Amino acid sequence: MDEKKTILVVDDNEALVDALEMFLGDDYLVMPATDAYQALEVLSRVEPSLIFLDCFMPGYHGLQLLREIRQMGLSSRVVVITAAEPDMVMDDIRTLGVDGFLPKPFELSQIQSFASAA
Amino acid sequence: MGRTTIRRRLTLLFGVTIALVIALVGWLVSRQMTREMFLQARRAGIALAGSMAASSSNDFFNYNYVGLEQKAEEAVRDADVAYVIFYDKEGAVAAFSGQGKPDAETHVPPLEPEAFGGGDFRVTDHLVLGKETRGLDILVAVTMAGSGTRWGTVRLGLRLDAIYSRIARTRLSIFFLGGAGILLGWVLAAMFTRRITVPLKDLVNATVKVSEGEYEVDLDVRTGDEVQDLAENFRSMTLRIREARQALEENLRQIRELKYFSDLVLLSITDGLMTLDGEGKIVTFNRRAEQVLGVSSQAVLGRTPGDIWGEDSPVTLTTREDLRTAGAAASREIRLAMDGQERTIEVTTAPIMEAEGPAMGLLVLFDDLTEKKLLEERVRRADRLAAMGTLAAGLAHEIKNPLTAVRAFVQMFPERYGREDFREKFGRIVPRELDRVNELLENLLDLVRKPRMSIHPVETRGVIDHVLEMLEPEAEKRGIVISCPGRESSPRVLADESYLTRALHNIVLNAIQAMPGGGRLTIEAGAARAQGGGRTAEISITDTGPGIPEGQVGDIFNPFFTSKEKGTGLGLAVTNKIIEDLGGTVRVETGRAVGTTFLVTLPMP
Repeated sequence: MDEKKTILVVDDNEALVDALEMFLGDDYLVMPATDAYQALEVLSRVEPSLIFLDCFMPGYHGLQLLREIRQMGLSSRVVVITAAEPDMVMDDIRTLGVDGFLPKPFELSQIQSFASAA
Repeated sequence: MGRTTIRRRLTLLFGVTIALVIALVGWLVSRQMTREMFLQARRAGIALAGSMAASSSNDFFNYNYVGLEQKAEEAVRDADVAYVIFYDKEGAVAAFSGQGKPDAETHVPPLEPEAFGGGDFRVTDHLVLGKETRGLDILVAVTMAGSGTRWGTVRLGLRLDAIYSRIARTRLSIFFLGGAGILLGWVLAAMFTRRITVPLKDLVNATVKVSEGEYEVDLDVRTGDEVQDLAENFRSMTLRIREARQALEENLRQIRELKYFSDLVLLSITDGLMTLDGEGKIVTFNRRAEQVLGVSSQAVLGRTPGDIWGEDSPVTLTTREDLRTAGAAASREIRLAMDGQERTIEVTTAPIMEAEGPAMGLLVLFDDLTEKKLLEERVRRADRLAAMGTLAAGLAHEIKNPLTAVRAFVQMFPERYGREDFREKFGRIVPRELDRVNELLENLLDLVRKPRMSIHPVETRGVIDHVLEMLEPEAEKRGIVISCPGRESSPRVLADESYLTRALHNIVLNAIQAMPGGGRLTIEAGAARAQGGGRTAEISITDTGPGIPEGQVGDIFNPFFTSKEKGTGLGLAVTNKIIEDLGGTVRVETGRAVGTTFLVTLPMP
């Protein structure tokens, strides 16, 4: 039937990107990125329906990327996933506005519900 | 003045001397004159009596007693002649100038021919002739010219009243003249002594003024003698005293100003300051010392620390000991209970002494460390908590990431076990992620546990080559040029080879990762200047990256501090720990334009 939805997964932990790709790969077109540069490269080509974004990659690149995604005016939904303490990033997330927030470690079912809602 | 002044004394001396001299002269003159007058009267009387005797010899010869009577009466017409008596040769009265018996009238004794023997004349002085009349009684023998036969005797009474009154008058004149002389002498003496004593008095007044502190002496003495010399000497002396005094006052003023200033300096010093003299008595005690020790300076000055704080007080013991030994400056912390609170006070003492010689006293500085200590303790605690917070957060982040991945794979396992690609990824990724956790914990433990190093001489060249071999692919990927100048002369160091390799690996990896767009990496090893006792070698690793932001330089060796996209933040912490365990140091020099240089110093064999 219709085309598969595109989901961008940005996380510096390759293993997690692999895991999410494996989990979502059957039903979605998963675009993996292990740093902000790769993510921007992907975003220059496609406009994903959903972005899973680790916002606490070392050097705060996640939040910076989020800021740039917002500036690009993409219609993608953004779900922040992070291993950091929520209160360390909440203020920025609230300012920039996101569609979901998942602290690590998370349930795969939570990933699934965000993916199907996209 | 109640005393006898020189003037009075001199006046008295001169006056009395003059009076005595004049009185003596007067007395002598009057005596001489009296004697002369008597002699003259006597001579005149004898002459009168002689002439009467001569003129009466004829009458005696002729027994013309009437003639004799006439002569006698004629003679007494002279007021000075009291009586005239003619005696015949038997001594009987031949004629008498008076009326009655001559004895009764003249009060002279009758003639005794025996008594008036062979001589020509006899004079009886100071005979009382009647009432209040004194005179001379003169007897003269009447003889015929050319023969020694005595015919009779003339007795003449001569009044001396006139002479006495002349003598009295003369004496009176002498007395008055003498008195005038004495008076004049006295006045002259007074004037003379005044001439001597007035300049003396001026001098005395001048000395009084000087002794009262008034040095403007206006002394004009022109006597032309020693007094003038004295006055002039005195004037020049006061002049010199005045100059010396002015110089002294100026010195004193400067000393006072200096003292005032130094007192202010002491008072204003922000440390508590106390000085003791050689006997241990408190000489200075400034405001801050009052605050630190809680006593006023009035209460302590001039007393000893023992008097104030008690013999067992640390203040007393410290200052007493340091004053006794007078050694080099020393600091120690003492604890004092004040207002029920224990305070920590740093006491620094230094002997007060010149370059040579014994200590003249002790300088004591007080610094209240109580607040500082509390603050330090609070900061330490906060630092510990903050460090622990960073550590915990970093640790959680680093564990949660692999944990999430592993959890996801495990969760998918029952469903996807049958799939080949899943099994392949599971087998590859899950153990790797678990190893990462383990590696993380190992690294963390490396920071705290005692390393088991085997230290021996190590070629730095070999270690550097090994590290570069491992990281060459990373560098090539980023287009980084590596250079090792002086590689052939690299020194040997005392180290554990594997630990040193790990430490340098971390630094070089950092440098490579700091240049994602390429750059130049320079590694150089050489002998460094001797530090302390032993020789050291220095390995420098320089990149041309962006440098470390100023505020982060102090944090780079802290665990879990990282600015990289990938990394745990433990690498440099571990490196630092290893190098310190090897007895070396790691320093960082960084700048925006020049990149970053890590300098590793290690001991040389």
